[in-house]
Amino acid sequence: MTSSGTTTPPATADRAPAPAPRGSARSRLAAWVDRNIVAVFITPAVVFIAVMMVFPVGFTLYMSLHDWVGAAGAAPEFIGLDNFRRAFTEDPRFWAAARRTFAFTAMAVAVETVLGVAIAVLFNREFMGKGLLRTIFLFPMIATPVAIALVWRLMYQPTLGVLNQLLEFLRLPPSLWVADTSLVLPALALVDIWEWTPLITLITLAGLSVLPEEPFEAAAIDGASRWQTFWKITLPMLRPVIIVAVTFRLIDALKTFDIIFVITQGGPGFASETLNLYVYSTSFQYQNLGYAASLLVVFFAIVVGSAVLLLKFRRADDAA
Amino acid sequence: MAVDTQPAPAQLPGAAADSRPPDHRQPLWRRIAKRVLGYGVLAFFALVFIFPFMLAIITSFKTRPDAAQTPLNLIPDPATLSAFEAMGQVNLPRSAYVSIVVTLSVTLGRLFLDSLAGYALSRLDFPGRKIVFAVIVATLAIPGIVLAIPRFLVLGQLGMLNSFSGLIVPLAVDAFGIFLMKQFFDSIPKEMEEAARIDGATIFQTYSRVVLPLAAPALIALTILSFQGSWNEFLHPLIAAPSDASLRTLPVTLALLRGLMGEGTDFPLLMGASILTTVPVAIVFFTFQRYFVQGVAASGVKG
Repeated sequence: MTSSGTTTPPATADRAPAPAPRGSARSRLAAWVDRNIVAVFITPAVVFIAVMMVFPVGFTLYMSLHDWVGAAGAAPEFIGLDNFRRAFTEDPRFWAAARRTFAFTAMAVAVETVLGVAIAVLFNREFMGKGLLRTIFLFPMIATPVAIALVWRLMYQPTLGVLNQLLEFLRLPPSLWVADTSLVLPALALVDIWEWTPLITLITLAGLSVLPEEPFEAAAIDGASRWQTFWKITLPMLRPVIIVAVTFRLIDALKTFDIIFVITQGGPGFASETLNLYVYSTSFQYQNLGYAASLLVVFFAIVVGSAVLLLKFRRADDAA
Repeated sequence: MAVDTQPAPAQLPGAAADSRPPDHRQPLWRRIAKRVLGYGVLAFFALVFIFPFMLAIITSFKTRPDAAQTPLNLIPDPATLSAFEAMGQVNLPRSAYVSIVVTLSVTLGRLFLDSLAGYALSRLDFPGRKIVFAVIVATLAIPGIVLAIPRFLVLGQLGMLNSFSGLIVPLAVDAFGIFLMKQFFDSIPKEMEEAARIDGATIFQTYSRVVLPLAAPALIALTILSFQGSWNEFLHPLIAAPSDASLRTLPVTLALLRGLMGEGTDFPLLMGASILTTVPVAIVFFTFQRYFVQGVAASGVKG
């Protein structure tokens, strides 16, 4: 691979000012690097991305068309779209997992958005202790998710957990929390909400800080109340930023793994088994690699589809 | 009360609230009440976000019976370090070592390789540049689980399962880092590089002595994100070292500890280990908080 026109000065011209005694070997290396600058700079990244990202995706597509059980040692057998037909028509566990994935994501992202924006607006002023409060708010999103999951598991514990003690204190009946099949998804969504609301807050705050002041001045002159100003001016101007934040969270919430894996492992029964966990056990527990790959393709399509849809929504918004 | 019927939400709005003159039509007591209410709401949220950490720290200093009988007591009685002493028996020091080695290697790898690639994509002209960049951006949307099975197989083929290289190499370049560096290089004016080139510097010298120092903010942001990301990573070490207990990172060991214990769980130990696992990220975060906030914020506003 030859380098481009930007490397025109002859290599010899560079060497003269270098006084190092080992200059010749080093400068030959330097000249070689310069001649192959593009290859040197980009090859490592391209190779990594190709082997660790692009190939896996391609291989997943290939596997999804094959019947292949890893542990059996037999070669993959081409079966066309049969894995997909099986997933959509014969696998209630897949449908249930897909429903749970959407339910978990919808609950988590909806609450995070409302709460995150509200906190950001509340924060967007000067007050004592702002720095400390902001640090506290950011802590959940940087802490290790597995550690967070363990702490919440302790809090949800029916006999030892803080939450049941709190209910007792409020004279309310105790709850089984994550051990209750109908409560487990909202309870897990609550952990996600606790962990990720600050991200929405952070992005919204950045959006608030770059809003122009004129519309607010105009509104003040027209005698708009603060409530009106918020709904009619702040929120519409923030919309593009909020949509980006929601897109980030949506993609991430669909992919949630650590929290669920550590707190419930998909249980009780299958009550909190999302697509991610179902695929994990299909591939690493049952070694059903071909079928797992087809589920992954569907899952990937859902994630990308949701993101594209939301971003389209944002573009349409900009155009209007 | 007649005009403004919603005192609580009235606290909320106002990007430009600061630039407005204080509302002197309101009586003093109402302004004070609003302020108290505002602080009350903030304090409530602060408590909600900080409480699990406090609970974990307090529990880690309790004895097992104490943790079981009075989980809500804010003062351990008696306070003990037995949970921390027990950590040696469950392989936590070894996991900490593995986590440190993996995280430092991954972070250095990303700093070096992401910035090289980002520079090439920003400044050097080569065929296929746009396609390479598009592919890199596209890989950002790939869920980790999609990569898990093929990576497991690739690592198996390369003989890298259950090895440090298997834990490190797949994470040593990341698409987001390349994207971040490219965007940053795009924002630096080209004049200084051109001046250096005219003075006879090679491209690599220009890169290492002129461009990289200018890119310090982006490199710091990348350091924090890489450190945090690889330290907290769970799925990859879980699949890359499936059968070698001496190659488990802290998150994997933590998750397996809880699995081993079932319901007879040693919560002081688990909480202590969780806190210790979070401490390094916390230190890095507090040290570089400003850059972290800027990095996340910029990705949203520009995106």
